[in-house]
Amino acid sequence: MRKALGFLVLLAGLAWAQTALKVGVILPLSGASAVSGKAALNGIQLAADEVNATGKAKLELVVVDDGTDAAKAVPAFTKLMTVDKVDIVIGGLVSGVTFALSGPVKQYGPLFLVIGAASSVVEQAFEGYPLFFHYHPWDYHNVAAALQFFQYLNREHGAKKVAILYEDGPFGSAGIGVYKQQLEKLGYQVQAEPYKTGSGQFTAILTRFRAFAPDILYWIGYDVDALPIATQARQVGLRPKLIYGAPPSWPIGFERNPLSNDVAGMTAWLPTLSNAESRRFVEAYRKKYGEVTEEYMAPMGYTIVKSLALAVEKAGSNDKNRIAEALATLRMNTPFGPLAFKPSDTGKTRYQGFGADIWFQFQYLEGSRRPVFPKDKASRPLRYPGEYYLR
Amino acid sequence: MRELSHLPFLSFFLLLFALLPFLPLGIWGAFLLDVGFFIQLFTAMALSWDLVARTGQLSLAHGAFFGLGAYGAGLLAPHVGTLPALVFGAFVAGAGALLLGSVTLRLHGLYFAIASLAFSEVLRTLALKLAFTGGPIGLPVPPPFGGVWPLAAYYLSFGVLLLATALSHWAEWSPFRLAQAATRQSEAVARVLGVRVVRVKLWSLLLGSLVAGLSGGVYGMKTLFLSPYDAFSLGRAVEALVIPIFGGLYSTLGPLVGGVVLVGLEQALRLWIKEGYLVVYGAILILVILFLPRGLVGLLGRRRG
Repeated sequence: MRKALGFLVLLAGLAWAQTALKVGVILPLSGASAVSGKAALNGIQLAADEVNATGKAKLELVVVDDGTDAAKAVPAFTKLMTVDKVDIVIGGLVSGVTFALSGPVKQYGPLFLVIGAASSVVEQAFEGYPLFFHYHPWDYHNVAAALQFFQYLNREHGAKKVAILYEDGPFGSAGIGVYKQQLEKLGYQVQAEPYKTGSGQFTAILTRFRAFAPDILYWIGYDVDALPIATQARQVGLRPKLIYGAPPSWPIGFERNPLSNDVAGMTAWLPTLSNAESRRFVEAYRKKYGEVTEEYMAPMGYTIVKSLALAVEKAGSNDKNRIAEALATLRMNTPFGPLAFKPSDTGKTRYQGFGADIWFQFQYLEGSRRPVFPKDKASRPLRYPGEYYLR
Repeated sequence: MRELSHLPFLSFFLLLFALLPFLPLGIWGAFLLDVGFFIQLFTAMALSWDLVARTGQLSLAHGAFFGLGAYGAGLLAPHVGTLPALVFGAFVAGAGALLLGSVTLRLHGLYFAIASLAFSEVLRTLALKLAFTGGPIGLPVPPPFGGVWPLAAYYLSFGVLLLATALSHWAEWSPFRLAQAATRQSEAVARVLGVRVVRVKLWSLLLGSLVAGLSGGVYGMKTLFLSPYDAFSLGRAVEALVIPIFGGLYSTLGPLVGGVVLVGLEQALRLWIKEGYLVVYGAILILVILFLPRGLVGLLGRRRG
């Protein structure tokens, strides 16, 4: 009798240990955001392999491509829900596409673990949806983190003038007015001019900026413009004390170009971060893919799957509501630092993962990106003024 | 007699779309309805582009008409409801077409194409800068009829396709076709024949823009969100011209077949090939353009001998 009971307990234990869970993944694997989407997928697959290797849970990923396009994302999401019959979806990298998914998400009601979609318009779209877990900081967190750095530059280095070069699309233009106001409130004189992404022609604007003699050249745009701006700023003799860029991703190999030296920017993660989780992630990533990534979407995807696996383990069930309950109370260390969910600052959504504190400032120094601000994350002091001369 | 031979095909496609929600498609039903929704909209766009192309004009303004319709309907829908908002969006697109046409339709071929491209760029910039459009942050749009009927968006897109097909069919089989063909082949000769060339081009552009505007309005109600870069995308205009070239220009059946095959093919390749599907998609497109200069419907013609 005792043996039979023991056998039953063992069986139940094994069944629990092998809790198989189908997870839908919807990411931009083609289109404008494919680089970030593929990085995120690499992180997700790496974490799923690690989770499956432990035997505590079995995650089966069903991956679909949203094409960075609402018209492709909606049918792809519907397929996940009705054909693949998943209850949990990881995705939502691009804000516009994620907004388009708000209707189908509310219709089918999955547990939605959102990797990106920083625009607070998305926050409004999912207001009141109970199974919405947003890991990435919102856009107002990004602004707060950047302003903290500008406050430091003003206070510690006496920076007083900012020239803002922003692309005229949604990424560069959204909130530019608020940005200007906030910088002026910090005591800066601000001159801002828009440009068209990919135009490659900045000399006219940069020459106008030269007359303004800014301390900081602040560029908000896409990777394609990084090199032309760094080159043409030197050509027109603009001598800011800091070139600060805020693209969603930096050009591949930019660090190897001497023109990148002293250029600063903001990110949520770098492989050189010294926390234990980050080091573990970098090592595992290198082992699986034979390279190191600098895309922070890779550890973000990794973090989401790891947190999901812990929640599944804690819930002891495949039920999305029980997993959501477990996720809501989860505390864990991640490559970005500690993760715990709380209501968003506006109170519109209930489960917000990371905030402004995961962002930090880096500088291209001697061929790689080094954290320089805030002090607790800095591996090197900020080089200010930077040297932006034609050699 | 060509008319009679094409009608069964047209009817077949339209009937298929009308009955799609009721076909026993099993677990694939909801997915195919979503795919069908976008096939209908993009096919309607292609039909509306072809309507303009029949006068020999290469329009790159269809993205702008789509965006005008989308924003017009999206802005008005919360205040007046779905159908009046869609009609308003179509009229805004039509007004845009009249404005563009009255200034540029004396231009020919590539000159008109460049002017229409500039028109799209201007409108996109306006949508980015004007506060009431939501600017670069974008514009949330409510679902049709408050979201109470799940098939509403599908049947609205079917309605747009039906209207586009009817307009295209009328233009193909009425005396208007002769005026369009004469204008396309030689404006000077057409004038000698008594065709009021600018008026024919303007009417074609107006009708095309109304359909494109309606497509944009319905698109916004499905995706629930508009951004200037999405709504006024040049990609929409390019898609609208690729489909008729793929299916067969200057006809109703060509864009209809082209839309169903091309948009459906893209979805299928995305499912089966995943990464790198664009390589296969591009190769098929090139092969069809190289070996079927009359598009897919050219196959039907050949078969008939």
